[in-house]
Amino acid sequence: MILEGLINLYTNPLTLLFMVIGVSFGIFLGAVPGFGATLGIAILIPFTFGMDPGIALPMLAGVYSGAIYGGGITAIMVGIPGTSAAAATVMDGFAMTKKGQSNKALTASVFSSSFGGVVGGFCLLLFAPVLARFTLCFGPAEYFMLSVFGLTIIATVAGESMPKALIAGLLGLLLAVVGIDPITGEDRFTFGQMYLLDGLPLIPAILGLFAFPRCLEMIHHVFKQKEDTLGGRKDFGAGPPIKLREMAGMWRTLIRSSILGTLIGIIPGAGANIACWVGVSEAKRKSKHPEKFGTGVVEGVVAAEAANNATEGGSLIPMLTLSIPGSSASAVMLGALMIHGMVPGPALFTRYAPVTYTFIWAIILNNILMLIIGYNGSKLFARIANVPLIMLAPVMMLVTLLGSFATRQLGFDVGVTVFLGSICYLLTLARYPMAPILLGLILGPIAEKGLRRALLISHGNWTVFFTRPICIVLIVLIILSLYASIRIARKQRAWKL
Amino acid sequence: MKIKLLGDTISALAIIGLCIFILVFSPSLGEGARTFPLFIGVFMGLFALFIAVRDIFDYYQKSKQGRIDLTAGQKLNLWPDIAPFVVIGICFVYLVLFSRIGFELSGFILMFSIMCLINVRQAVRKFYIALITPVVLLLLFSFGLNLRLPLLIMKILK
Repeated sequence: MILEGLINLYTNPLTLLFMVIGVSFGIFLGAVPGFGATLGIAILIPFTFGMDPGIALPMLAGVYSGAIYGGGITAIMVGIPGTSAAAATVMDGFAMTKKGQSNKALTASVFSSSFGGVVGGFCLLLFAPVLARFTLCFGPAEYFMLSVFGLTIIATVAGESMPKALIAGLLGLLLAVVGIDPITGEDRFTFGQMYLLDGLPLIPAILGLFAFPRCLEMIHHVFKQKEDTLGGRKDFGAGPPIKLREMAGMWRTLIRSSILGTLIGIIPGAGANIACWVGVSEAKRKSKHPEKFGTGVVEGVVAAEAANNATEGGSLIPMLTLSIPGSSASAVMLGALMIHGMVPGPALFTRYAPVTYTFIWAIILNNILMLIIGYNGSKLFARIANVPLIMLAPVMMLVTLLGSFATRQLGFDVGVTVFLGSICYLLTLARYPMAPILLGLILGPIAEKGLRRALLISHGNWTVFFTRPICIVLIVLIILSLYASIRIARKQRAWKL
Repeated sequence: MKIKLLGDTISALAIIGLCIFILVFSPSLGEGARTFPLFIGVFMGLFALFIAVRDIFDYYQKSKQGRIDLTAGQKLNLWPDIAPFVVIGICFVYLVLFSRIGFELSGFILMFSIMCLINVRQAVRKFYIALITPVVLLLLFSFGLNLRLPLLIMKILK
């Protein structure tokens, strides 16, 4: 079954072609500050609607891998990280560019990103099926508690304020309530709109949550900067590329950062932006010359880039097995899976096994493709820093609106994106995180069905949620996650004072 | 600080308003159908109330200690802050025009107006980009993805 996925990939040239497109598109979007993997996947989902999932999902995985690596390009070239995951790359990457070694930094970045991504992908291949089998013991009560746990854990780490993140999660659950009630068939909060009877359309909602506000933020950014481009340097990839021997000499850093990145990726909400810093700080701690970090040492770039790309595989482990995404990009990937009719859990590794394993192998292969594309095109991608944002932001806006129309070909869906996107933009101004809203929207039906089925089975007895062993474990985890987040918030407040 | 607290409080109060709507509207639903919305409304209201009370208390305490200058607000750079809302307005116009005048023209209006809103320099270049982009997207999605878009040219031909 596992090998079937690999064969599917190699025997379908169309899949490989779309993977190349996905990786290239991801690198491009990742390199533009403010865009990144979440927006890239969100924008592409509508156009994969009519595609075979065996082609669509590998392409979206390509966007994910490419965007994380792409974030490092502008970090190296202009000192502005394309994504928050590349924030740690700026320190040594940009310092290397200043020394005239930008090509060395860019090629080291693509080698380490690719290595980290492959390690993360293999961990996903090994651990996801095992964890998925465990979910077979889950009943309705456990599914309800798991959804609550998913929401609390992502809410506690997703934003700067826990109550705001929890409100965002509940807003998502509220959006999930719209439409026909799954048990009684009664319509709820549809306001007489027949297009809402099936619930809030997922693709326009994803675009409204992630793409539309991001485009507005980009326009706001361009306005403030009064500059058409990022003001990139003219020495597009100066100096020789990194030598293979030099790269191999850093094998310890590569392996350490990749494993750390995968582990951090598994923790919901932690993600690549934390992994890159942990990767660098561990490399610095183990180094014989820690004082050189930040002055333009290639090991700093390698540690950051291997760690952030390894999170991709890690973050997909809880997403594929428990429906709990490890990052906002994997939350959007979860939406993509649902749109293609694949519900996370044990069924992914039984009924949908061929597509699931094709998807997992695609993550590994995408990282290898990224190495080929990134290594040969490093000088070309370095020019992304000079892309005129004044043109790019309106184009992305138009593609977003077109994307929301694409799935059902309804003007109503465009309205959903614009309306939801406007509200979400206001919420982002008040610093509400968006990932919990999407998670609430996706987990809502699972949580509601779990809650009501459990109550029906137990004849309305609420103790069913507090007496089953797995439920008790999940309640303990919910309390622990809330407690940990309160402690972290207090510490952060103390540091600020 | 003043604006941050004000924004937080207004958003929290808006969410409380939403919760009140849910709590008023949900009881009219059937017995099973209302459980989940009521559950959401209660918890969301509690969290929003917590934020609103905390912020008002925070604001009151800090202003009492003289840590907030009540006479001077944060210096706002008005135009860049308003511009995204103008863009939202343009998107609503696009939404209205999309099915009436077709994608090619509404797409052009959307792109050209956003680009000129940001910066009016090189207007001719922007005009051509705004003209070409919807056509390229149209060709790509009509032939590549079999997407049927409302088109002005089709209406004229009819």
